[in-house]
Amino acid sequence: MVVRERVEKAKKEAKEAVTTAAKFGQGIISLITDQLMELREFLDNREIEVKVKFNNLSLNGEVSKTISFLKKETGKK
Amino acid sequence: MKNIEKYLDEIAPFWNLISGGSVDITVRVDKKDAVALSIHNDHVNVNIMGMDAIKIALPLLMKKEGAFAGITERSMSLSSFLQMLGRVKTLADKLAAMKKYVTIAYRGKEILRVGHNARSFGLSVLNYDNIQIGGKMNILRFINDLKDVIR
Repeated sequence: MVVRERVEKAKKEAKEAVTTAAKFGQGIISLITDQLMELREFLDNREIEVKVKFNNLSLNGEVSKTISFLKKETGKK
Repeated sequence: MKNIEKYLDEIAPFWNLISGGSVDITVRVDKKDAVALSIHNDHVNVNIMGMDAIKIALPLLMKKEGAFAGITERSMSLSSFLQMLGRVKTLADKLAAMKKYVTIAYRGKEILRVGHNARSFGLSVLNYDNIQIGGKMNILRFINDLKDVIR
């Protein structure tokens, strides 16, 4: 496979990886919201503050593979 | 209230995606720190920062399927703590199979560890594998504060 094709493939994978990461974030938020909804009758008139921090987070699967491939290929260019 | 194993099934797909770093979640109630969760690739730390979070969740925890079901201020003791452990046994075994563990701390001091790498000789004898309890003083402090909330 020529380098251009490989870069295109990697770009596609990177796009999918970003979608996965976004879904991950959404999933975490909806899990928290679900729990708070279960407690809603006890939370009346209370101020609830939820902070979510991604601390050097890396995700499994194609994400890291794709990024390291892109780095390698763009480095070559 | 959904049982604790169902929560694990919901969380597992997201949890398995984490390969490094952590997701840190902090919940504050009326400007006071209540619970802090730190989700890592192989473990989750739950830090109960005050009894406010327990106070809010208490009606749910006291329900039939809840962790504190059937426990009253009068019956609150080390034996009722063991009774609670019995309710998390299935979860502990499931976590161990996934090679993951959960630690529960009260005000930063570990009171319970369930799942992979959790070992306690005394509890193994009682057939509570994959469960480890923290320091006695930490547990007693937690039970004492819990008594005030349940009263």
